[in-house]
Amino acid sequence: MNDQRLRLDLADLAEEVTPVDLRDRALRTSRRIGTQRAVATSAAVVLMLAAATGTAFAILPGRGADPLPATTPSITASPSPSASPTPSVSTDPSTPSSGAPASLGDTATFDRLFYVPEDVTPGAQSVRLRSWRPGDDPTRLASLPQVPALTSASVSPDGQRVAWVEDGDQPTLYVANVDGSGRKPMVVGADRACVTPTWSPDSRHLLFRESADDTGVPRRYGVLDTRSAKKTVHWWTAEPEACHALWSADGNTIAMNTSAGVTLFDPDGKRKRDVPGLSHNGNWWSGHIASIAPNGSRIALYRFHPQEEDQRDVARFLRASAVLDTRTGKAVSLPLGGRELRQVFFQADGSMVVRVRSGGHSTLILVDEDGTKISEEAEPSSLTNMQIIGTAG
Amino acid sequence: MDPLLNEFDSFVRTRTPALLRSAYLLTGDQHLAEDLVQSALARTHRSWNRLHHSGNAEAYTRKTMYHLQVSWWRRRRVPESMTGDLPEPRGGDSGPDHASQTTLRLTLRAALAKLSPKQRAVLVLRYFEDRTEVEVAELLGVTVGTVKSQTSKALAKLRSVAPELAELYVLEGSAR
Repeated sequence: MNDQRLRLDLADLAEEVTPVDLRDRALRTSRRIGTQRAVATSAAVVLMLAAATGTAFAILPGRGADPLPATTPSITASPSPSASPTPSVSTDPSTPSSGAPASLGDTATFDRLFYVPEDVTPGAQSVRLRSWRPGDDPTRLASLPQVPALTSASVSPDGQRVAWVEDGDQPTLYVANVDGSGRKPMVVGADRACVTPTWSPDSRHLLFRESADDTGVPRRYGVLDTRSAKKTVHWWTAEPEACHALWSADGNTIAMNTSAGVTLFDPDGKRKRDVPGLSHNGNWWSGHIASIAPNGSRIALYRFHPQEEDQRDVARFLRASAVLDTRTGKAVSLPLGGRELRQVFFQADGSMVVRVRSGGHSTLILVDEDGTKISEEAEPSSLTNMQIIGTAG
Repeated sequence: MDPLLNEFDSFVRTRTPALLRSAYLLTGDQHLAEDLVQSALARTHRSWNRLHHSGNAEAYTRKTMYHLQVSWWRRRRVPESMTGDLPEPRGGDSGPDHASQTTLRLTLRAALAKLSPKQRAVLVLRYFEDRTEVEVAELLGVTVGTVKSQTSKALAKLRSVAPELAELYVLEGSAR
């Protein structure tokens, strides 16, 4: 779809409206709502007293207060940047312990996996980050605001910290320990959807992009030193039109979605090469990458036929439908056993955690670099409706 | 003057134009848009003590606006004052001149009027406010699956009520 044309025409149509000052009208309505609430509260008290004393309803005012519109949304503001975190690390009691792993090899093991919900829970203000290592019980970690948790939360490769971007008057990049403690605002004015915070392999730096300003000033890509007292940022001189960064474990490659599909950059943002085989008008397209091999040689991504499917939302989408060789663009064969592929994450040793689903149950398969299955593990049912957002050794 | 009220005044004066633009796309009418923004701002004012330092006042106001719009429509069940009659398609030259742009705007306006409030809301949020599917779902209190399906239905409806828009936007609908 020509999204851009629709966007421009909606913007054009919206300009038909005449700006007016609504300050006084809003304040009058606010006072009326306040009065209605007060009257409603009074009426409720009278009703309670009447019920308690047997007084006739005749004493009620002739005209009852209008109820508060059922439409009034029950909204609470997201925690303020100064809100104290809620450290909470606990074993999830609702989840049965998984059975012993049916290990087929002993050269690779599952890393610790981090999860957030896969979909929005209507009405929820916050959700839990969780972790699980096959063989252990799932662990409840930080409470994060719902939208950032689903779209930008990123766990450092050492599994110690989590970064995310909260929307607001100024979208702000935060970093906290994975248990929620030590929450700190790091960058005010960070992109919340296209380039979400991406950890360097040493778990110290974060690649991010500035959020757009109203004047259309180009948005810079920066690498933040999260340990520096002054929150030092090394700004890229390059400004690629790219989203969804992944940083390889060897530190040499950053992959991003571009107009070419997937492009590999060096750590300073210099373009290295495109992954072949992806095209808007061709057989396969992808705007969502999920994980990159430690040496940048393979990438897990969601690719689809552009004529049959539309998966173009700008937000992060960590599903995987294939693993591609980044040199040839050819798909790597995975031992799925007839099950639906859901996610793939590379571990630091080059092995892959392949998440598959069948009959409503999820299973994790540990696959070595050659594509051979090492072991597999049934995932606890409490994690079925969650998505993996990262792994840590 | 009360500093809190000062802050609220400043918020209202700086954000009302943008709120009105979204409200106009939601309602298709100047007066209904003003009523919608006014009501949302009033609720924001009621919660200003809590909102003023959080940096989330606009998000709260917009969320309120979208909820009010959907529920007002449910209560009224009457079409907006905006006409839903589509203008006659212009024949002949298809150049991007002022007249054809005006016709296009009228067509889009009328086509939007034929959508349900929720369908219109997802289109406005996705394509005017540039919200992600997760953000739209959170704002409207639904799942991402519902956002996808409502977007798909909204685009299909636009395609059926205004084929000339379908040609322009090459509306495929969303399969996912």
